[in-house]
Amino acid sequence: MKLSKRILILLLCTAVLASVCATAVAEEVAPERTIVYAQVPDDWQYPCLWAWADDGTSAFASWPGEQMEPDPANAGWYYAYMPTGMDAVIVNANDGGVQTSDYRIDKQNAWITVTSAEEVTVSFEAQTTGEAPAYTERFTVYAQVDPSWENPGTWAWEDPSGKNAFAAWPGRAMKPNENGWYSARVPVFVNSVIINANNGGVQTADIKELDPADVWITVAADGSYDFTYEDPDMLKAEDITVYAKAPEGWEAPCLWAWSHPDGTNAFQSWPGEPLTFGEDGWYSITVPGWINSVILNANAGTVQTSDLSVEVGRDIYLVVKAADDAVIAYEEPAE
Amino acid sequence: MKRAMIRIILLCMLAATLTGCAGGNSDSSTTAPKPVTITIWHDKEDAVADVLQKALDALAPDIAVKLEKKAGLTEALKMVGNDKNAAPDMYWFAHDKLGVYAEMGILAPIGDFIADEELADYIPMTLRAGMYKGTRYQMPLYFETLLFLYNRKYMKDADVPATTEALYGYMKRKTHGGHYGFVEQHSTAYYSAGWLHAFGTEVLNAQGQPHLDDENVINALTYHLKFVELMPDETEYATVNTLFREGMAHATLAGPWLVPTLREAGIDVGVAPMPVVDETGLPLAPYSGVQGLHVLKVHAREKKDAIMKVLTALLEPQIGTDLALVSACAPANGKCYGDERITSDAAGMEMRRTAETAVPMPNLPEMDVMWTVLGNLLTDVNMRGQDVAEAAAQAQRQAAQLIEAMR
Amino acid sequence: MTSVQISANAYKRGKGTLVSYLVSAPSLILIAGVVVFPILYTAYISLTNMNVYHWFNYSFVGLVNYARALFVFNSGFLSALGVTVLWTIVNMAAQLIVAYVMAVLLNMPKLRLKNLYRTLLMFPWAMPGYVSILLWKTGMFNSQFGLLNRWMQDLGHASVRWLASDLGAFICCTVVNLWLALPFMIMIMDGALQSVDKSFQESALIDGANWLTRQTAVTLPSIRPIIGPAVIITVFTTFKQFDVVYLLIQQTGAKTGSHLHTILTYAYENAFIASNYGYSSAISVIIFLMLIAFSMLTRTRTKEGV
Repeated sequence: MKLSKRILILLLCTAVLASVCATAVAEEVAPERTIVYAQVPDDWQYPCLWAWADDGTSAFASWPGEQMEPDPANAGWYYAYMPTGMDAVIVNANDGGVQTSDYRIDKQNAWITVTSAEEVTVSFEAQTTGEAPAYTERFTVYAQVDPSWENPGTWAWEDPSGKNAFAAWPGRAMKPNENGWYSARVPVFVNSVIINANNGGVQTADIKELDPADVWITVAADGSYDFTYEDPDMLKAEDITVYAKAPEGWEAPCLWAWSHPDGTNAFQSWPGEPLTFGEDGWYSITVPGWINSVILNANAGTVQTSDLSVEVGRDIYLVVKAADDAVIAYEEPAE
Repeated sequence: MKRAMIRIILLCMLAATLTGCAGGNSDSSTTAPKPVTITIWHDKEDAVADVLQKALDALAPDIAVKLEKKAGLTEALKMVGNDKNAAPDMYWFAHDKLGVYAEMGILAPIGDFIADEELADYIPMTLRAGMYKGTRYQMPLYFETLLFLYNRKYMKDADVPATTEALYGYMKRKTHGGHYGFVEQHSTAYYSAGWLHAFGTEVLNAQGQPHLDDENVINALTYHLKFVELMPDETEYATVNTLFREGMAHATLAGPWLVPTLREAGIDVGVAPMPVVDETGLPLAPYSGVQGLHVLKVHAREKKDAIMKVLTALLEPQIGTDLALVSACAPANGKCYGDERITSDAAGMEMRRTAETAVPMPNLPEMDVMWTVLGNLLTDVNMRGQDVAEAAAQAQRQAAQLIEAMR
Repeated sequence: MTSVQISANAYKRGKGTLVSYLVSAPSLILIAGVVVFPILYTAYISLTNMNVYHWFNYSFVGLVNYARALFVFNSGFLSALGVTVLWTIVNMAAQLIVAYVMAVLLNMPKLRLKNLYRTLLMFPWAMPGYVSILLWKTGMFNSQFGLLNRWMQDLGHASVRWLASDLGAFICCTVVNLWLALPFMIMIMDGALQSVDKSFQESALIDGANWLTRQTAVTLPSIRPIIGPAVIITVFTTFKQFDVVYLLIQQTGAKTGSHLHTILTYAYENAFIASNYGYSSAISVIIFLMLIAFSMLTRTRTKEGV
């Protein structure tokens, strides 16, 4: 009896001590989230979800939005969480190369079946079985691998508990990006990864003690590696100038520019920064050299071009004749 | 004609200059009784000052308390501290300058207005801070100490290092790729003094004599060096705090004033006790700054009753609580810790615990030169790679020379 | 001329002198109050023991503080003095060369948007010096976030602690001082160049002088009397420069590891922080006398030059 009392007191003291020793200053209230499922055609690689509310708020920082995760319990279905309150979505894939039209979901969970870009069914009744996967915050693991490493993938886990992020080795295939880096999203509990390739034929050693923050890992042919938490490409790129000609009626044109697919924006908020009209007849603006996508807009963002992909690190000449008629050149076009 | 005009104008200017010097001395005497005005100089933000102003407005109509924000308060007090026409009745500032003013002879002892028994509930550290050569010169209101802050995104509560060796191991594992396991202003005297205190030493003894060449100082600096090697090269406030605020550092030592900024930046910030140095068994013991009221001698006698009433009003725990909350500090009055608003403030409660080991910044006049000397010593050891013992001996010589130069 | 006429003229002259002094009196009083009085008061304080321990009851101690001040003028002070002289020479040379080149470019006949460039070049003047210096420190030289190290990383090099070594700190301080001081010098040079009679240039051109000869034989001698006072003023502001060196590398709590000191930062760190006003005043007076001697030397040289 005495012993059990002592143990009880000891446990209580330990609990009190633990609460004293590490006290959180603020308890973060988790925002409510809505889940959207999508089933996409086989040639739609790495599907993403783009969502927004009627008041103009976007769920994600930049196009093409949040990369969707495959649902392990429902083959062929992908899912993505977004903050509750979004009214419409677009499902896209192949780096935004294919996409559906806008579909209203009116702040509800939705199941979207995409047969083709034009043929889409939206359901608000569960089309999948079992519980939805729990929401997990994620970060991106980027890898730049030796050319002999084909189809790289990442295997991720929490050390030392051994909790794995993916169901089976070699883990998640990494998405190739235009800048030569591969990427994969992993949950924030992950603190160790392995980069592998050639169907698991080559791999790095365990890359441990990672922080749950976007990380860039460079891997040599022999599997040796180094990593940094700063985007190496972001450091390298020098500023470029975007020259533009806008059609009549486009007052005070602005440029919106970003890096696709990581979604880093060059400017704080839409419609971006105004261009300056020069004596040479061109509007112009200097932007960071790492951007690879632009939109020219005007009249306070009420008219705009579509998303225009551009080459990284080169001055751009953009001739816009109408919202859907824009020509990109990298040398000043003849009149 | 033109010359004559110019002469007239210039003569007028001369006359105006001379008469301007004379100044008006109008007699505006009135027979109506006036409230006693107590002027308090301070350098606080308006929001903080407003709390005290509102609390002391309750003394009206007999006493009118006027809080005046004074730029360059410490220098202004040196200039006019004994000038009946210009000096305030009291000033509100940290305790660390009171030794200078006590030596200048412009301060009145708090004991002339408030008996020590009235302060029985106050945290002992805050009372020690206000003592100079055996006399109390400060009525403490609230205090601050450095805190061990950590980013809970990176450092889990269970991983918070309890000892400095655990911290070092953590830093070695986590410092890579532009992220740091732990950052501090490693070569700044105020931020690094905690390491010296954890080795049982101080930069000045009670008599104001420096002992920077003390064996414990050398041991502390030598031990601290291996941590510095895993930190950024810069020691300044902006760099260190930016690293933590931008999610590039897992943990840091910082004052409570940083916590609101961190919350705004979206950092899930945790507060933990200072790690204990394995070798000595003592925790890092940072300096503490105690904010409070000081009475100037110049009007102390003629306004004794009013000053007494002002100080007595400040014994009210409610005022201490309100001031501590608005200034993101911890109250000096122990009675305030019965208030749920205080007990639910994790940073404030951690400062309360740290107050048991924290060292009040020395209020000796000699400390004025020690900030620079200790800063130089830390820079020489941590940033120039100078031999610790050699640098300490050099710093001791400089400290002795400067202290000698003070007299 | 009779003796009566002479005395009448002398009376008139004397009256005129009196009136001149009388009308100048407001300015003279102002100058005496703002400039002369503080110097005399500092000299007076330097002869007392005014410090924290004798704040209101200070007394006359003679030249004791001057004797003690000599301890400050040790090897550290001498090295700071050497740095200060080098600092002044390097900065002046750089300022004169850069400002002259910029002014010549601004005065090129076919240059468009001259006024815009002139305005832009004045920009450093529009910013408070304190802000400019700290912007340079954190924005350019900071080893974590500074632009210079960003560029170093772009080029694949390791980060550099620009302000950690004495040489690095000297160069960085010089660059910042140039940024702060160039607007004044460019403005003076620009004005001086515009005042040069174009006919001299044209005559030299007709005589077959090339660009370099025209600059050295015509332009420089013409502008020398105009820029002379500006150069003297700048020599002194550079010699007694405190902000740049202190804020960039020696600020308490934000030191960078460099031991670079000019005489003012050295005196500040080794005397002024002691709050001994008698002692600090003695050091100020000695530095003041040094500046006076330097000034007389410079004036003699300038006169010889002219």
